[in-house]
Amino acid sequence: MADTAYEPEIIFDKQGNPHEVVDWKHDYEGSKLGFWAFLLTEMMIFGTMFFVYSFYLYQNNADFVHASEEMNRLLGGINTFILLVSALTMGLSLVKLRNGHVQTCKKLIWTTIILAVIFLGIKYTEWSIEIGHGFYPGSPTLDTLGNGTKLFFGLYFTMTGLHGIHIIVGIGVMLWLLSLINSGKITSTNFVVLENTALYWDFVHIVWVLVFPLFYLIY
Amino acid sequence: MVANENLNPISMSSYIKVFVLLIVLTSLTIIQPLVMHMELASTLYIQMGIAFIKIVLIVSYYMHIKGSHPFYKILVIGTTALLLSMYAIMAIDSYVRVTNNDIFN
Amino acid sequence: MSMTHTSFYEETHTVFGHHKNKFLQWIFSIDHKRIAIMYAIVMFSFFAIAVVVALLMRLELFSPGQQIMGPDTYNKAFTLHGIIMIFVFIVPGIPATLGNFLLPLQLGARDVSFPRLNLLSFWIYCLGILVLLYSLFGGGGSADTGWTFYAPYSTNSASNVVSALTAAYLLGLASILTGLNFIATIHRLRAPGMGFFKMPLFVWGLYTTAWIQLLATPVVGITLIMVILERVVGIGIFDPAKGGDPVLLENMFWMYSHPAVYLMILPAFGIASEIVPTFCRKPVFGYHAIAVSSGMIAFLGYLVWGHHMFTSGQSDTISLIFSVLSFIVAVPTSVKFFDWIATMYKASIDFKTPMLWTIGTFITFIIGGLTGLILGAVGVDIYFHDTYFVVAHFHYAILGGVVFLMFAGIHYWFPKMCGRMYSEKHASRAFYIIFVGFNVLWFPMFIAGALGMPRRYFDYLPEFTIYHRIATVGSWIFVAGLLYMFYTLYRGWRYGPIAGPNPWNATTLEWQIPSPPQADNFGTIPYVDFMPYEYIEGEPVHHMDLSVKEDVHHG
Repeated sequence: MADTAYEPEIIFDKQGNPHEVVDWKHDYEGSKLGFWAFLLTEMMIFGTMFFVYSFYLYQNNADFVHASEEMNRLLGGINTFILLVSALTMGLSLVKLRNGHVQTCKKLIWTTIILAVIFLGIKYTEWSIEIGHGFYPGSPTLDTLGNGTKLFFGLYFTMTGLHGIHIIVGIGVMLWLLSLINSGKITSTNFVVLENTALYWDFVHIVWVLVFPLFYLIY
Repeated sequence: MVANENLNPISMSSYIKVFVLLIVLTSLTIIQPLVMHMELASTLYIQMGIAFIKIVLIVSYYMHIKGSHPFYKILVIGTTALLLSMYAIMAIDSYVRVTNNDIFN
Repeated sequence: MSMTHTSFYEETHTVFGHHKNKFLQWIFSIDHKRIAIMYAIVMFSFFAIAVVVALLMRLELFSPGQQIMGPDTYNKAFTLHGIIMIFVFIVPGIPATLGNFLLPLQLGARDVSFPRLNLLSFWIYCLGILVLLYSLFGGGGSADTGWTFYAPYSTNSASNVVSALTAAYLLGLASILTGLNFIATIHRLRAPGMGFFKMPLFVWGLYTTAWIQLLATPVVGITLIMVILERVVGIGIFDPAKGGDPVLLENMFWMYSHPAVYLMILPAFGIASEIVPTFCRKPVFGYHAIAVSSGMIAFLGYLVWGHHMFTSGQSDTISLIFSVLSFIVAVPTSVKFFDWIATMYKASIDFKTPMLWTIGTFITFIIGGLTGLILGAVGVDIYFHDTYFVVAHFHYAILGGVVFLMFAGIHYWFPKMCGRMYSEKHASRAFYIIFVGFNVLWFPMFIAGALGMPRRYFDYLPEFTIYHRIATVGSWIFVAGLLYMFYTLYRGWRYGPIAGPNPWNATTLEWQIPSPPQADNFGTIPYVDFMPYEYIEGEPVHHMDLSVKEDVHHG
């Protein structure tokens, strides 16, 4: 989308005043608006999931609290800090790009990617631990426990799974970002794709900000 | 608005400041259940309260809502309000269903 | 009028590459007008399939006992009919076809904000249909849960629920992306000078619909995913044995599906707001009221979903709350009807086919809407829920409301889309046949339902036979009329007289360019500082020829 030869279309009203016609091919505000609209749909998706969680939390207080004690707070806490730092590096990459420091920007994006991969690795470890203890949907261990516990773990795997998929997609987008920077399609004056990716990553972080206490910290 | 340049200038320092705040809040959130042994409802209030502050910080500064056109604030607040109103309606049903609080019990 | 212009049928922009092959030029085209036509072709093909399924259902129901299909097949038939009609036909419906074609034209724009996303939406839509077709034939057989796939049957049924739900998910995703595109387009690409309250009312309909597409559809998307997870992994969310609540599924399902019906009707109301001023030769009465009422319907529509669940076991308190809210949401709709009727008052009305369809819709939709209020009263709904009364209500509202207005819109914008005019005589006759057939088909069902005939039953007690027989005959008249209508349109498209830019002498921007439009819509974008329906003594105030490119260089 980067080009230096763009000349906007100008029309004139009855008084002869010029007005610029917005061109869909060169519409920064439009790209931002479109991406925010997409984030609203994500809010509705995760919002509905939190709603299901609250519904069952209300009905199964005690079971949820006990199940929360089983969660691995060390790994969850580490992941929380990792994601926090990655949100910072993603945001800073945009600052650096806009100030013209393209190499620093790329390093920051790489840092974000690595942090995201570590997050996934820790999540995988956590899941293995839970499954090892028999806490997975449909397991014989869960069959012996209360309904609230079954629902807690059903929701845990669903919500962290959905969150994890969003992280994987985010990593893919960041890799694509790097190729766009290398080919000159993202520059210090044409950066809306990076900005939107940073918004996406902030959203992924926000979901975790809510998921973490609801599953790990209600013991 | 056509070119990408004419925007609120953006600084590293605000990112770092918010980052520090978020670290502090996250630490508080982890420590809270360790030191304060309370019933579920109170824990939830504190946890969700801290989470809410963190989210407001992230949305306002990292996602630039604070410096953006008010339309974006309306979008975010509006969608949140929509979700909360659906929660509220279901909460009424959950609270009242098959209990003595229902209208025609 | 410009002499020779190349229309969008002859040249187009594609998403990548240049293709000699015409088929590739169509399926890779990012032109909103071509995408609209492709949507229409696919949509109406599946509409025909769903109509055939319905005809077979009505044949089965002609007499008590089994005629041509057994109970399991009947369950699959009404499920398929519902899934196609809702997710493949009416939800994309007007926005994907007429909306895609006309939105940029009515705004004075050269395309939507994200044309490539528009094409992607269409491809996702087609992928959803392919998955649906797969679900008809795979292992467990076509889904038999009803399009509402309530738990616990949907989580336990041996039929192909997972693939049917995946198809619905993809179709919903296409809808979300279309809504996103329209919101950005309406906010960003209006012609200079055109504020929100100078937009045509069809655009207002599309705008408020887009917000529903955007915010409500994700709710059913995640619901579908959770049902799939429940089936495949057993997370327990809807399984009572694990503490789950099937009524929660009903709640989440209707949290989308009720706003969805407003998503269907709002663009249709927008079409009525376009047709009425044109054929009454005067500005629409209450422009602001109609625009704002669309917003109110969209907003209130999110809060009434529980009126589908009065008999589900939810609390009486919430049932009463939903009932009151449902009565309130009827008010903005009636505002529109009063405004249209006020526009028609003392107007010299031109009863061309689009106007006939619109007036006919007023009759059928009023019946549909008022019977909706009847169902919104909790005490009555206890008896009418899941009877033929409900079936008649929603067919009067959706078929007699949305689809009739879609037909009105097709007849109205037909000359713009293909440059030719259909036979007025045949088109109006087709309308009357369809209108009569529609009422013969659906009205007896109100009575049958009130007398207790349950819905989704493949067999019934002999006392209901007469109603089923009348309805089945009505279905034949109705379909005969549909065939007549489509054939008339086909003949118009192939052999009709050439229509100029503005055969109806209307005021909105799409009528100020050639029929069919050129690839980038306008030669010159106008500066719009006037209201959309300005007529003085029956004549439009502004005559523009926007096909002529003035001496302006545009990138």
